[in-house]
Amino acid sequence: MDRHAPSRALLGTQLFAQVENTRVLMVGAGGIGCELLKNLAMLGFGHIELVDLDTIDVTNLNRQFLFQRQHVSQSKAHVARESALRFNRNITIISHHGNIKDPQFDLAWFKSFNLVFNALDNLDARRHVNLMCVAGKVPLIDAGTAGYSGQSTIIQPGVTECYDCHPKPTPKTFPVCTIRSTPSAPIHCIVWAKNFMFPQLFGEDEDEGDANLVNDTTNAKQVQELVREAQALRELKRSAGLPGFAERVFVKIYRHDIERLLSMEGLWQMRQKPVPLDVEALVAAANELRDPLADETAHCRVRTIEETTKVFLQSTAALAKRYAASGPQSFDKDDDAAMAFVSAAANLRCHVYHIALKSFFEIKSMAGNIVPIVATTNGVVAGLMVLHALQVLEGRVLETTTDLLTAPPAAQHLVSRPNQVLARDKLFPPVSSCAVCARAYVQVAVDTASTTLGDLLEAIVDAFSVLPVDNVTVLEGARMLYDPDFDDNLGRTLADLNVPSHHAFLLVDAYDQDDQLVQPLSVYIQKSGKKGVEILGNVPQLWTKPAPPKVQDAPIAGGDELDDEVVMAVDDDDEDIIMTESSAAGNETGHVGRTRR
Amino acid sequence: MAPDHKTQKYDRQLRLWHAHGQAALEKAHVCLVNGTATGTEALKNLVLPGVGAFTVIDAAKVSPDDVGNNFFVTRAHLGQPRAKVVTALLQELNDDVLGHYIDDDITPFVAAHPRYFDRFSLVLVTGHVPAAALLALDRVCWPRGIPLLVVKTCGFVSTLRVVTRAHHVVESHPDTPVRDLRLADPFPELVAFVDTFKPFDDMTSAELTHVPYPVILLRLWREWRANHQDTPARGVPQSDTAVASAAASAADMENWDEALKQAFLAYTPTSVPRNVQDVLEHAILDVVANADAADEHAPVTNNSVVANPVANVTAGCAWPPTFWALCAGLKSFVAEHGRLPVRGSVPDMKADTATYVSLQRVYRDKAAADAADLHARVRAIAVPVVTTSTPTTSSVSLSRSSSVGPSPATSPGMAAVDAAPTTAPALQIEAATNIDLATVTEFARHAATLHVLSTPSLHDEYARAHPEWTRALSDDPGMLSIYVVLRAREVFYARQRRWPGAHAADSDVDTARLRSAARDVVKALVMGGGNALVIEAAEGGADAHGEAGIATPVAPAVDVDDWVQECVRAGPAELAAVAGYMGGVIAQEAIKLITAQYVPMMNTYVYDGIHSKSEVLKA
Ligand SMILES: [Zn+2]
Repeated sequence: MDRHAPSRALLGTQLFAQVENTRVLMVGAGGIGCELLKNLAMLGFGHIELVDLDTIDVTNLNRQFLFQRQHVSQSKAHVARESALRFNRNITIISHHGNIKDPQFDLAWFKSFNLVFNALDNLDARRHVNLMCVAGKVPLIDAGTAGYSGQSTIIQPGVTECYDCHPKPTPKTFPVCTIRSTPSAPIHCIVWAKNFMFPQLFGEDEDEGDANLVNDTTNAKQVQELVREAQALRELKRSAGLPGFAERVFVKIYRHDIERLLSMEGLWQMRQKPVPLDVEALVAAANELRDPLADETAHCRVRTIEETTKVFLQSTAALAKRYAASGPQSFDKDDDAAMAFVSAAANLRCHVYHIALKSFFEIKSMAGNIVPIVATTNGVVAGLMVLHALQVLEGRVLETTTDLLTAPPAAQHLVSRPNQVLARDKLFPPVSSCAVCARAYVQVAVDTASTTLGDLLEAIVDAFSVLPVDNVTVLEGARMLYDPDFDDNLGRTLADLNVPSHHAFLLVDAYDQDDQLVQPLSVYIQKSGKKGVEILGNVPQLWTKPAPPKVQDAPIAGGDELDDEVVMAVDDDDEDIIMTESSAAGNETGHVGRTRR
Repeated sequence: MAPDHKTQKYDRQLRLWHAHGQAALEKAHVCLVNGTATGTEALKNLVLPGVGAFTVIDAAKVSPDDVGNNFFVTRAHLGQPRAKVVTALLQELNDDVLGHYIDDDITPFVAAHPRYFDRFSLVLVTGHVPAAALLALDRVCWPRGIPLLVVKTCGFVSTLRVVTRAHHVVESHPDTPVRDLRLADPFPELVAFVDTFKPFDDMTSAELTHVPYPVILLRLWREWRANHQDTPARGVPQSDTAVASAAASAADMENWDEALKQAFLAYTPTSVPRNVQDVLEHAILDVVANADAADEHAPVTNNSVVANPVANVTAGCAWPPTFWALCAGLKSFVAEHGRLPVRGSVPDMKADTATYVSLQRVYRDKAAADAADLHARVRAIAVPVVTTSTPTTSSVSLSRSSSVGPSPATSPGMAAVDAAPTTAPALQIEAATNIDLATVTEFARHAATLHVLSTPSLHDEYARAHPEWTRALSDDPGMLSIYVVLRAREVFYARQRRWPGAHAADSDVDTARLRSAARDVVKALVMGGGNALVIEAAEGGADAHGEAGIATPVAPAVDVDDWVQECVRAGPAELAAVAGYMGGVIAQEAIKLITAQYVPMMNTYVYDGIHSKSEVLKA
């Protein structure tokens, strides 16, 4: 029996042969991933590799249908593979339980695929896959969903826009003072509880934690107070796990800290003053109560202050005990104690500041930054991804690529919106200023132990006649390795320089003899045992053009402005809102301080 | 301390449709006709989020093609009843869902057991179903107000037709949030609140920075109107200028900038939106308002106007069947006040906390007063609300007890079907006086975004002429040609008793026949009578109509011919990716219909998977 008869009949012999012989990579085996793997396997894609670092969680089961209750906490990639093979044994599926950014998934590996699917909800990983695909010239189908909305886009390197061609919306930011001293909305108190109080009490000890506050020169006294406040908290933390700890924290943050803030008259001229909690009365009242969390139906209503106090004391004690027993904790919206702590701590603070209280359910949404996800949208999007893949295999991304600028191609970017089934946007050519698309990419194999930076540079300058050796700059990420005024490293081996560090591209920027700007080049270093430098594949032709009149240091200017602010790096699915320094958000490595559960 | 397993498992979707949407979904019983690849994909997307129950009606046996494109059958099931196999595998996805099946063909089944459909909240038809059977299903579902979703697929193309007599949406989740500040026609409490502020000229610059923009706008607009008696509409730019010049003198511009941006609010009177007017003008409201309590036990089954829209209200069940009583109350409210109840929410704005909280209180109190007013009206109507006596819940429990019944071996499924007490959609009367304030308040909050939507019946679509398409049919049919060809397949079937492209050997003959059928369909779309085309032929069973219908008033454009060839080439096969895509779309619309949240797609959705194009055709 030919199980692929329907596919063969509908796709035609030629296209089906392509489907059977094509090597595809799918990154992510979550909601979209499960749907996609099913579609690829049913259609008869002959060779599929999938990568996912996650394990299965119970909240996945309402949509990730390749997983069942007995699979909870197993590897998504492996279980998805087994489930898919059960209904089609005629194909090859290779699963990798790991991070797509791991060194083993290098450029050569990416280039071994004909087609890559991004089924990720995570900005950082999506950008990484995008970069590798553009560097390796591998077509990428990128997709995402939120609620009833979703989209699937074809990224054909060099021909269409890439994922990075348009900057992603900037994360919402809050001034530190708003969070630490003068909250005026529930989200301020939630961020305080989750991103400040939780790590201070149960996370790692960090001495540099206050460094970013010093930048805030608008109110030196206030900053001083905040630093003192944090120190006092660290003192207190030493008694974590001992009896009375929760009560001591309660008294400190809802009475003493508030009283100290009240002493700063200037803060309250235009604001309503906070009112410290009547801590003794509340603790006494709370002790009379039974566990308020036992009644889950109350998750959707706002609990009383006494109940909230009870939840606070209970969860603080539980988390402190865990901290004492097993070390620093990190916030996880699915960790009941952590979520109980954040909801109670935030609501008590709202009460102190006369801000409307929120229900447990609402706070979980805001703290976990939980994007609604439903099975239906994943189904729509994964279906689109495969149909888009067929268009890529048939070479129908664009009917003609030459007159791209004058005649925009047929649109293939699709959106499913709440009140509209499907909309299409046009596919546009790459944005000329895109940091990913504007570069040329070349892959070189070197023996890093014996090759010096000088050897490498010589080989590159030889290969690219347009590059003048005396006007070239070489960077790895933000690290300067060479420029005409800094040649100290030329004699050192790459191994000695720790090049390549993780998936680093050497960035070669240059001006030619006529002071024309030369297309920036990224050199991906593939370690090899063979002596010498070997350029793999075709040497791309670099364009040159008149240099722009003045190059501004734009990123630095942008960074300064945000320096004293807290950035909420809004992510997706399994990643959390992070309070981090804004300067990290703009550079190539993406978010510093990212946490994963 | 752990939340119950459902809250945990459904966490992500509860964020979208909330507990009451989930409750509606869990009460729903969905019927799938034919366990095709597309059908099982759609059902999978309803089973995973926890639909209450489903029933698959299908007489097919698992074929090699099913194994090739349907995820919910395996090679080991070849030759077994498809209804049974897919039910078992779909059931495995979610323990909370009850799966049933009936191993019978839809054509005889719907003819013999029309009342069996009373239990369903929604009926979904997939696969290659003769049009005669579709129209028979329409005759059953339409008067009962049960939404009918008809999916036709051929190779890379597919259409989804939603048939619903009346569907109401309370929570329509508009793309742009509703702003309801009543600045153009402020209520007295709001005016009083604005008057508590000092004149702007007496404020320090620090004080000026903390005046919320509604206060700025309301005051400036009133001052401006005091000095300009002429028509307010022409005063618009001046009003902006007034704000701008006042803003220029303020120290911190933020709240004044907001005022400038929102200035249009000051001279845009609050009106009752079109969608709400449609609801308030709906015929059912007259019936509700004029119903006589003495008629309580009168036979109302004749009164189809009453029966059907209301039956549909209970079908989704996200909102209580008291929906129309609430609307009647709202109609009375609007008649007296000339406006909708105040929504009560205030958007974020620049203001100090204390002022913002007081402003919030002003709107909240007004919203509460309006809700109380509406509540009194709803109760005072004291007119019975009409509702069907077949709540979906009892249907679910019925099928629970019969779930082991349908045995494929002897008289397939019939014993259980007949045993199930089929309750007629008889109507019962329920007083509106027990609608609580919380329900009224929630309803009032959504008053501006109410929708009542309806589509023509399937019979109407097939029988009547479509002058709105005449031009497109001769000029540029575009995606309408896909619709035409899928209709033509049904005509082909009625004449040949098989589907085009089933045998590769006949492909040239099939192409000619399908082309001729397409011409007949085009003619019927212009002249009407398309229903006869599929029914009559089915009864006559002759090919006589073949070339006879050539005399069409318009020449079908080239597009139709292209799709005729594609359809014959594709034959009856389904492609997994198209099934996956359509399965998602179908389930998405089904959930919108079941939960009565979001505005669903109405009429016919056409998808072209070759060019990744789609369109909604409105007939
Ligand atoms: Zn780009």
